[in-house]
Amino acid sequence: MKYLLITLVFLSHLIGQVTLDIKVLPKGATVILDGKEIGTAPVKGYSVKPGLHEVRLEADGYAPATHEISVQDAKRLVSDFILNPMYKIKFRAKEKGLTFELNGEHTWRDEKIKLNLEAGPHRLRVYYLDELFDDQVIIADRNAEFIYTRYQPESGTN
Amino acid sequence: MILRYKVFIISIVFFGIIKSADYTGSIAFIDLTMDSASIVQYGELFSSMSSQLQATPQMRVIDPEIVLSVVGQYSDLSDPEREIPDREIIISIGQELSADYVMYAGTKVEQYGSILTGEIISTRSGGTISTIQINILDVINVLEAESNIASWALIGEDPPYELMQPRRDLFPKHPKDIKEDKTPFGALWRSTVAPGWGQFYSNKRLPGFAFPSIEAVLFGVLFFNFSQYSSAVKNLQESSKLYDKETDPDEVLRLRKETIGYWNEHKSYNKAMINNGIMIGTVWAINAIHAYIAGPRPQNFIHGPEPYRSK
Repeated sequence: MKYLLITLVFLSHLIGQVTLDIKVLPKGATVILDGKEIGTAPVKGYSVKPGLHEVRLEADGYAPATHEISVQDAKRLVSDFILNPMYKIKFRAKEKGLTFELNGEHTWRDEKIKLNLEAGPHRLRVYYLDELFDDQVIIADRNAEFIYTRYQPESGTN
Repeated sequence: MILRYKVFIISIVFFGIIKSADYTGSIAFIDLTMDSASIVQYGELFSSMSSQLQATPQMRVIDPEIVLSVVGQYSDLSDPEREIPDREIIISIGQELSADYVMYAGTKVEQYGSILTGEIISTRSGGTISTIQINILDVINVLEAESNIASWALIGEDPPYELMQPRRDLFPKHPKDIKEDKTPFGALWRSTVAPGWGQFYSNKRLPGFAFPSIEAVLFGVLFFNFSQYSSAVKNLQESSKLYDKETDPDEVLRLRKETIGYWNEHKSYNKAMINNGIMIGTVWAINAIHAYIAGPRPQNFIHGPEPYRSK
């Protein structure tokens, strides 16, 4: 009877677990599952219970990312994640008196500023004399200098 | 003792069942942004997927046109702003298609870009087998690359290298993996080899002409100083020979004065040559440093809505 109980507990434990594989680009990223570090990517054969889990991924030179994964009843779940690299951006305004706001979070008035931006699109808002003057999306795709001017370049320039 | 064996056997059988349950059957790829215009593209995608999956003959890919006809019953394909149906609806679509698995991908346009969500679900258990959630810029190409990669999760094998390459190419690269056509280092070594070359390489024409011109003038001065130095040395040698042979006291005095003059002349031109050399080296170094500082770096020019500035 004792062995049967142990077996049932063992089996129910096995049945309730899903084997989780976590692959991350770049390899070697630290994988934190529900607040507990479970190793570096790729993580293979980690057992989890069905339900919602939070995966946090961290790697040098990349923006940390947090994703929620919904683990359903299945034998194995393979989750792929791709981290966005960070780029060094020098931002330069050609005119004075402009106020810049990035992603609704970061504001500056300096004519020159250095930013660390996650790869991808970012929303740039420009204020002139405290009025919204420009609203556009800029894309960070490499270490680069962004030069902002209020005026459209004449054709053939730029 | 017998019970222990039973426990052991039950455990082995149980593990056997788990390990032998390979994913086999049929799969439907449901892209919730699909329409008749994109069906050709998906047809091509499925052809390539099918051929890859044939390598392990476990999975049959359901014709995308049949998938589209069923998807149309659940989602208004003419509505460009249609939302991603619930998970249950996706599973229902899969069941109606008699697919064992559905792979669906949806792109959600967010304020600052798009997020691609991909998932492979078993229509029988409702369980998720594979997921991917990423920020993307190039929706269509990433979708194709990721669909191919995800299909390998069904086989339980790692995708081949050639399928992983598009992922590496499409997603933003780490700065150290980005190869620029022109770099400040490229300008530096060019200008170190030949002054001005790095500046021309960086399209800086003015310093590109200025540095070699300055160097040319300095080399010209160096050549002049060298010829003057050589002449002074030659005169000094001749004069000193005459001085050694001369016995007339007045001539000796004259030759002594002349020899000292040549000696001083040769020393001053020698000093001038050394200074000249230092100047050439300094300008050369400045030219190389300038080439690096003014070297080509990626620049993005962005502008506001104002029309052209009046001149």
